[in-house]
Amino acid sequence: MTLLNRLMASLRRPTLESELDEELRFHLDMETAENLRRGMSAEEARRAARRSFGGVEVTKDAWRDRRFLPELEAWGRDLRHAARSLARTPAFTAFAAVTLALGIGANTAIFSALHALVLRPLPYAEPARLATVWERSVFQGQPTSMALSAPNLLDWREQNQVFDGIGAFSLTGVNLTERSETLRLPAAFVEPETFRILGVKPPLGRVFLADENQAGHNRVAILSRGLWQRQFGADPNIVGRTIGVNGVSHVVVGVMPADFQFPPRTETQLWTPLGFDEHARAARGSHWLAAIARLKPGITWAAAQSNLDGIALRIARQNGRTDGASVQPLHGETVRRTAEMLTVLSVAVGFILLLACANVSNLILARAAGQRRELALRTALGAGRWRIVRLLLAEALAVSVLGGGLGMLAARLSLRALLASAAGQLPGGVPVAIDSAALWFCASVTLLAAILAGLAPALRTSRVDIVTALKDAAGSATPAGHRLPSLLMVGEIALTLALVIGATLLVKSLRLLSQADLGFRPERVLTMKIALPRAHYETAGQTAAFYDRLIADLAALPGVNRAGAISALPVESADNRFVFTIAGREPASPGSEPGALARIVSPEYFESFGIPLLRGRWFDATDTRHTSPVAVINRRLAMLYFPNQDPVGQHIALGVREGRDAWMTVIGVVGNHWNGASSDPVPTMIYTPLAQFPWPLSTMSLVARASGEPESISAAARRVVRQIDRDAALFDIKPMERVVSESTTGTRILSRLLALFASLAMILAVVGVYGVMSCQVSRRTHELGIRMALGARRGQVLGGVLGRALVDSLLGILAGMFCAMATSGGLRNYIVGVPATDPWTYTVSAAAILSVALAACFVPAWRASRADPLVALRSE
Amino acid sequence: MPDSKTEVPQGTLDLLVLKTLESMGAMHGWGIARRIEQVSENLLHLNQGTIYPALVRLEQQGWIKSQWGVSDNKRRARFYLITAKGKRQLDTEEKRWDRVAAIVARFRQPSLEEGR
Repeated sequence: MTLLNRLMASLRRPTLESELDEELRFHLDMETAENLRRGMSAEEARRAARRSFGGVEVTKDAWRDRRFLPELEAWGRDLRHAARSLARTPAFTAFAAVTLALGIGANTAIFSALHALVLRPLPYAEPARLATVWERSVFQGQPTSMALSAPNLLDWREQNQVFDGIGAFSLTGVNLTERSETLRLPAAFVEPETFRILGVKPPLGRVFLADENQAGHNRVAILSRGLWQRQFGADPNIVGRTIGVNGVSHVVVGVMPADFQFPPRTETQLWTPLGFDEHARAARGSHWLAAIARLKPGITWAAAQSNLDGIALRIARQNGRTDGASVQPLHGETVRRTAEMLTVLSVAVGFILLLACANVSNLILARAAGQRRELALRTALGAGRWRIVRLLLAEALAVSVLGGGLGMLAARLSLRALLASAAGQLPGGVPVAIDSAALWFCASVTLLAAILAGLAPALRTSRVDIVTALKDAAGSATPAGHRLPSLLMVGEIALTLALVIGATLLVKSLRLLSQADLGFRPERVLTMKIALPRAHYETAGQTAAFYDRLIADLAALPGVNRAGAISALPVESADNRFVFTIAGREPASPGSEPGALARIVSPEYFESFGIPLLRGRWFDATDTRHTSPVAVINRRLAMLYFPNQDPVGQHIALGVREGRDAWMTVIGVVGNHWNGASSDPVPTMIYTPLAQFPWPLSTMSLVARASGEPESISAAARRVVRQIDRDAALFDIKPMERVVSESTTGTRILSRLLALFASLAMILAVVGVYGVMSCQVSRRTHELGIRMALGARRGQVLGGVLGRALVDSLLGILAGMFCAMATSGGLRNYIVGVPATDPWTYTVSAAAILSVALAACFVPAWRASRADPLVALRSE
Repeated sequence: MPDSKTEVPQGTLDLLVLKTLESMGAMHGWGIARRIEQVSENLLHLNQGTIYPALVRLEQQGWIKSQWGVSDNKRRARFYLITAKGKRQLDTEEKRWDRVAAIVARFRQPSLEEGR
């Protein structure tokens, strides 16, 4: 209140000042008149009036201090002074401002991404009370979340007292046939309840009605705004139109708002209702549903968790299946992976900012040393310590405001570059821009930078000993305190080392990844996914016939050597891990059964893909639904579970105990293959033939080995598919080499960015260390001159100067290693095959930094040792 | 002579100014200063100038307000008035003073035991 009053008063300062003058004049006149009445002479009366008033100027000053904001005005004065003095040294100003702009810009850019993708609430009604709901189970000794089964979902929905609704959904892909072309779209089956929980209101049409999940009413679809614009020309009469989804007619009932994404951070483009038939309602062991829920007002997360746990336990007691429930905030689950990556980057740019501040701090310190006489003079004239500190801080503030402005520009440019380079790793469809939040952040960082860069030199310089400073020539030795420059040097080396270690870990693991022995030959292999309209294929025989014909037609295309099919491509997916049983062995205890990834393949797959046969035979046309089941295993599985016997001829079955499938005869052993950057890069594998799979397979991955450029066959492949079934969609067409390289995108992007930041840090550190050293050496010129005059040899001088630098560097390296150990844990999801505390990385990085730091120190030290003692002595 | 005059204790000036304005109505700065000197029978050593920062402070607190008017000798002068909020403040302050004075007085009165 008073503050505002004072601020307003500052604006009317001239008026108020003249009013005060008038008031004081009136006062003195009145007092003089009174004194005259008492019989004083005119002169005496005036003097007496002044005496009883006290000092007029003192009064005015005291009044001003109360009336206005003297501190703010003083800042204004000091900032103007700082601006003038910075303008006189454009080189210093530009260098310091650009240094700070790097730090501020990088931080603002990363913050903008962090704010838009992680911090901002999800665009649903009251998003803070939205939860994800999973079942909790123990798998191989580890508690894991898993999808819900329909009967559990229905029981939880009915029995819970904590949610305003639970809505299930299931991600899927659909074939959309439009104008004789079939597209594959990311889609979701959602219970009508789900959209009600989200509180979404479509601008066109409506959400699903409660009974639209019932058979007979469920041929309805809702489109994303993007799909509506792209595929239907933003037709305003779309609602009520019929479209072909999976070969079945659906009526469009709504179009979602532009910013609507569900599930959040996915680019789902079409939604159809999810309902449960009698079979699904009874299958308590079939886990396939994801679910969201809305907490009732006043219910805590813990209360919701324990309520669901209680229900899950009751169900478990009745049929011994589920172990518990997991209730998590939707926001946290959604942003977790993005947050992980952006946190790593935030720490990195934070380091850059600290480095930039340390550099500027050293520059200001050196500059302030040149101003010592001026400052001492001010102190001698009565300026308090705070005024000196303020003067120096104002300079730092002026520089960092300049840097902040430049940084804002840098942030704009680098944010665009960041988003482009991280495409595919950061979620799409969410606008990321420099907005008002980024502006505030930038302003705060600018202020922080001013304090970080300016405070230490200001405090240090303001502690002047007037007498020595005035006696000394400007810029000569400060007797005490090499501690601050040393500290800056230690800090710079530590931060840089930490960044370099992080970058090296990533680069090393990227190199390991690129050198991984794939176990197959990706070159010239084109991969495609195919999805069949389910309605056209009811039996396994029908889908098998489709794939047989497709593979034969593909292989017959000119330019195609071989073609095959597999249920999921290597490298691309690591799910579908099964436990299995080996015939003739003691059943393993629960939780430690043998496990493998199971894949369904066509006989041509192995040869098309270049996976070698080590023993036995491939699948062939003799393996059909009418012959006994067969399987092919890979070398790793053979070594692990059949170490001393020939696996060919043995019998295995997927599943364990009473849930086990039919026995399969192992007919062959094939080579291992690399399955992507995961905790299990070379998995154990069980392959089964497509022809013997008992259920219809609506999607498969196709591989075709071309004789030339793999992508040259994609148009012909599309034609082949269209000839067999118009409603089948061929999609995700890309060379296998790209599939392999995309599997390491996260690590690659992060390593590229961290390498960039580490190089930036390295440059800043070299400049900083060089600056600190030059300063220290030049401050010691006189002392070194004396030493040499007293007979010290050049080598000794050089050694002495470098010795201290070495101590500082080693301290920095020690601190940097601790810093790296404390922070590199954040990288663990991106570094594969390299421990976060890899000794090789630490040693090499430390050696590199040490040599760079010493090289930066060497130049000024060498110059000092070359100095002519006579000149050095006169440098006083 | 200076020894016999009392300096205005810290924080007391506000109270004196408020009390003056309460009992005398609207006054200009000089009038307030004179009044304080008169009431204290010139025993208080007041640098008259010090009341101006005090007046600003009181005005910022909302305890007094000011307006330009015409003085007895037909000159333009700034007049100060106590506000309702200022009266409440004065009341609180006076009570506090009375309490403090009473406590101090009690300590200065020699008790029976110590009076021996």
